[in-house]
Amino acid sequence: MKKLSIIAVFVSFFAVNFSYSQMSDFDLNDLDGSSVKLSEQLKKGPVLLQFWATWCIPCKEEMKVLNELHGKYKDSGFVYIAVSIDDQKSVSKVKPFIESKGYKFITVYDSDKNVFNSFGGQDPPYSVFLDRNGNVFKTYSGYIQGDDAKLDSDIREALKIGKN
Amino acid sequence: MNKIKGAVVLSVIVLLCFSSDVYSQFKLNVKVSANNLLRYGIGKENSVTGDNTKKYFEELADVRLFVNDFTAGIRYEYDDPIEFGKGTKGISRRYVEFKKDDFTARAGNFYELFAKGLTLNAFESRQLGWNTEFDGVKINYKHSFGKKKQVKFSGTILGGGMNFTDFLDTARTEVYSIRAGNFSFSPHKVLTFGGSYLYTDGELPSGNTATKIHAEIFEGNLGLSFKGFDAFFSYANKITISDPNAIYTQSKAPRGDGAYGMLSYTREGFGITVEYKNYRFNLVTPDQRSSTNPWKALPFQNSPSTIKVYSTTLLSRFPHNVDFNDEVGFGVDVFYSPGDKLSLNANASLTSRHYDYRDVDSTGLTRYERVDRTAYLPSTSNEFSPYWEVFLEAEYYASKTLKTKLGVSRKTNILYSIVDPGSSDIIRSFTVPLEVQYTFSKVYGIKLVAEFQEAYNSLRAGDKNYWSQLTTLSISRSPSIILSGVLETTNDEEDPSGKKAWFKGELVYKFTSSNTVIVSYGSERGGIQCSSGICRYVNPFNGFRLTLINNFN
Repeated sequence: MKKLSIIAVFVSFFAVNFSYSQMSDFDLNDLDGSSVKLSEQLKKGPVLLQFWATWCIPCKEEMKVLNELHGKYKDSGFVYIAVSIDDQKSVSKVKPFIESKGYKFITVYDSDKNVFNSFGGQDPPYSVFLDRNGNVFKTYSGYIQGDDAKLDSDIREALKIGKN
Repeated sequence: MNKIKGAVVLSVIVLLCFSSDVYSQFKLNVKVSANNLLRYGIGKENSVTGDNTKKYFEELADVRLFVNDFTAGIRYEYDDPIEFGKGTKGISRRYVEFKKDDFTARAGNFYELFAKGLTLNAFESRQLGWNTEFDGVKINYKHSFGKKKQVKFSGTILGGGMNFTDFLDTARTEVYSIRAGNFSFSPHKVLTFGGSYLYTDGELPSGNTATKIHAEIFEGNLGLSFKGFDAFFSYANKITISDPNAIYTQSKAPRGDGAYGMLSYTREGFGITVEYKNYRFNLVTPDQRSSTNPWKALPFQNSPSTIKVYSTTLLSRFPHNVDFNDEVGFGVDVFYSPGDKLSLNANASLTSRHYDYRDVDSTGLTRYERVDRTAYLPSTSNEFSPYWEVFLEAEYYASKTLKTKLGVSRKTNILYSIVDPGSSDIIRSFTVPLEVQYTFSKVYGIKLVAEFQEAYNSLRAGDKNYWSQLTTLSISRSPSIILSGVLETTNDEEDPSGKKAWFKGELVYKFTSSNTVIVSYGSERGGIQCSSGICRYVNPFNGFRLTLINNFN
């Protein structure tokens, strides 16, 4: 129990003191094989990274909602990047799924889950919302019906941060 | 343990040295992120031999420290005991990584995937107790050339050790020392080619004797992309040389190979993927098939299964255990969205062993001989242990607040017994999943998932046909609460738990958007669970479970 207490204190300490930290850059391929660099996307505005997989049902429900919000706020600078963590067994279905839905947001491959792990992901759906300065504004684990209202309000708030 | 502690201390010292050097010239950018997973369970596990008390406690804390171009990470793990796999108490993962522009170097623990995994696909699946983690060094360089940066190169070299604990027998650990490299080159957007090479020395225990092996795997791959078409083909060849020992008195050096191909076509509203696999990494007679066979496909080789990954309980109940040593098959997956409201998904796959075998010994002994055939396609004959499935699903959004989903699945899985064909394991299932989801007052949701399944199991002593029914009702309030009840019933007289009904209640509470607690109480039917084609049987469980998930970024 002593060890567990140490862990709890350790984790809480970092949570309090280092939240809203700036995260690492990444460079991943999109569905057409073009490079997508996080730092380049942040120049457009706040970026929401949604880690998802084709076999994850709540991920796809959240994706439908995020697609609508992306359509609503993309002209204001909101960037939505769907980061697929499908591994070798299902990665071939990512492009057919996205194209069949007619989704136009950026989708990138993170098959070895290196970016997912570096952002502290454990299970999808997991999303990290970065403001335009690259600071972590919010993280979301899981998706609940009706979360669209909360996401909508978070996007509006993020769009205000760092705006000249 | 001292070795691990030493490595961690050394890593931190190296990191601090570099950090202070950087600090003297540039601004020091320090950031920390952490995540935590706590799992606890207590109750009764029902097995064929009787009920046993089951208790597990798993605590995993991952902390990452970012200092300019350096990252250091540590996982503290405390399993007392672990639910599946081999437990640890102490630091179970540590690494230091340097990343600058196109160059990345990492020392410590890591996972890696080369192409489609025919050579190397190291990963962890905690729900199965599977872990093929490296402890070593990995260097990656990737660069884009040309005016439009369309010419791309990526290369990785790595070396290190891997202790793979058999997920079905945790007292058995295979030890590997691995060196490997991988590259991919894309001279134009339409073309990518690459290759990989892996060399390993390994010790594979069987009883009290370990067999030493030396294996080499070569792999080449080609990818094409033009307009809506994408294609990928990968071929790997493996040679395994074993040293003689008490079990295998003569050295052997058999070769095995594997091929995977994929072709897809997409346009707006439509997408189709056709996959093909032909894995022959260790084609042996039925009496030689074993998870301890030294010439088998190695645990860090994990290529595409080409069968569908299901998400609901009954659809996932009778999975196929992929044999990477001897399996040929294909799968087709189609997505079609005729409008914004309706989406259709169809999937079909067929897979089998390559050959049929005959016992050609006329005395009381057994000597199997292969019945040759052109084995580029799977067979549906029972002698080939075939698996086939067909799945159709329609998803319809009646309005923004009402969604329905209806599917139908038909599967057959045969595990042929050459000794007594009459006792072959034949499972057929027909499943209909239905989902209705309604959102009201903007933040409240109600979701019903109902699955009905008819099954045939040839190994049942009595009635071989039975049905199962599973209903999940969830009520949620965004963004914090989901309350669910799961009821499963069956008329199966021979279920291992001896029960005919299981009920479980579950509460998910998100106390912030990234911190979640999940508690459940009740009974679960258990069954076979799979991940990446690897399967294990999970016993029925009756009791309490707690999961706590924290993310701090």
